[in-house]
Amino acid sequence: MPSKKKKFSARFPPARIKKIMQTDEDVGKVAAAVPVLISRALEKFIETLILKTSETTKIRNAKTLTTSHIKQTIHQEKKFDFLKDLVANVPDHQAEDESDPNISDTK
Amino acid sequence: MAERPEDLNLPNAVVTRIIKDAIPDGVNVSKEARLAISKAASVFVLYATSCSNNYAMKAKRKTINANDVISAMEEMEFDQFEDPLKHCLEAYRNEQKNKKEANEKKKKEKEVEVQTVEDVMEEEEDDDDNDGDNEKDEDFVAEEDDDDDDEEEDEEGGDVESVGPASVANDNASVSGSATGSVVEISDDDG
Repeated sequence: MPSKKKKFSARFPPARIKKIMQTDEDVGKVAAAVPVLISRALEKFIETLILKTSETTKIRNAKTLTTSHIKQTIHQEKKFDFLKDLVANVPDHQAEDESDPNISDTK
Repeated sequence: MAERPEDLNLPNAVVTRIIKDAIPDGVNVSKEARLAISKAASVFVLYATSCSNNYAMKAKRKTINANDVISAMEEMEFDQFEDPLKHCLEAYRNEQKNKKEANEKKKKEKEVEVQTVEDVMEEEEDDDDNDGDNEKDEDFVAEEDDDDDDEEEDEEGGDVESVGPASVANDNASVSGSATGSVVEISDDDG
């Protein structure tokens, strides 16, 4: 297993994370450690989302992971419910880069 | 969530790197998918913030702390994140501790240096170079203040489970400037 790539080098800027957090009016102060933790959680979250979505991509025999694969994954997993609105406009099926034009899987 | 200006997106480079590391071999990611992931990440921050804030408010605190975040992950059904986050927190605290110790070491070394310089100055009273030396000292002092800044946030929480030494450092340090990337208070950030 190539675990070399997965270092903690991909960190998000704490200041940017804090900015996003504070768009929520209810949020007051934020301890210094928090953006660091959120950054790590983001890393895990993106990893999880990509891994799950890539399974859909493989099942559809596609070479490229598309937004429609993401949408399907979001609808399949309860923990991704909060993302449903984000992908509401995405079509269920995209013919981008898929080798077989006869695929017509609909939801 | 009234508005989402583009500035509140996370840096593409970091998102792309994480995607690259996560994606299995032989699979590509479309541009649109990458953008969608980036937006999903921002939404995740907002959702996590809201959950964490609930925990803080329940405990009648105005500052969200590390444990609030970890509890929030459980509620969001991401409990598999709990362990990595705990490790991350521990590493962060160690980092802060080491920084603090390094700073104190610097302080002591400077004191010795200043004394040495003063001795030299007494010996060479006619030398104009004395002025040059003084300027150097000022620079050192400014640097020192910057590093201590990130301790400030922890103390403001009051109920925060901040480590003992951290609060001691705040008593000693005179916080004024802001520079290091780990500080959350910076106004001039990556933008």
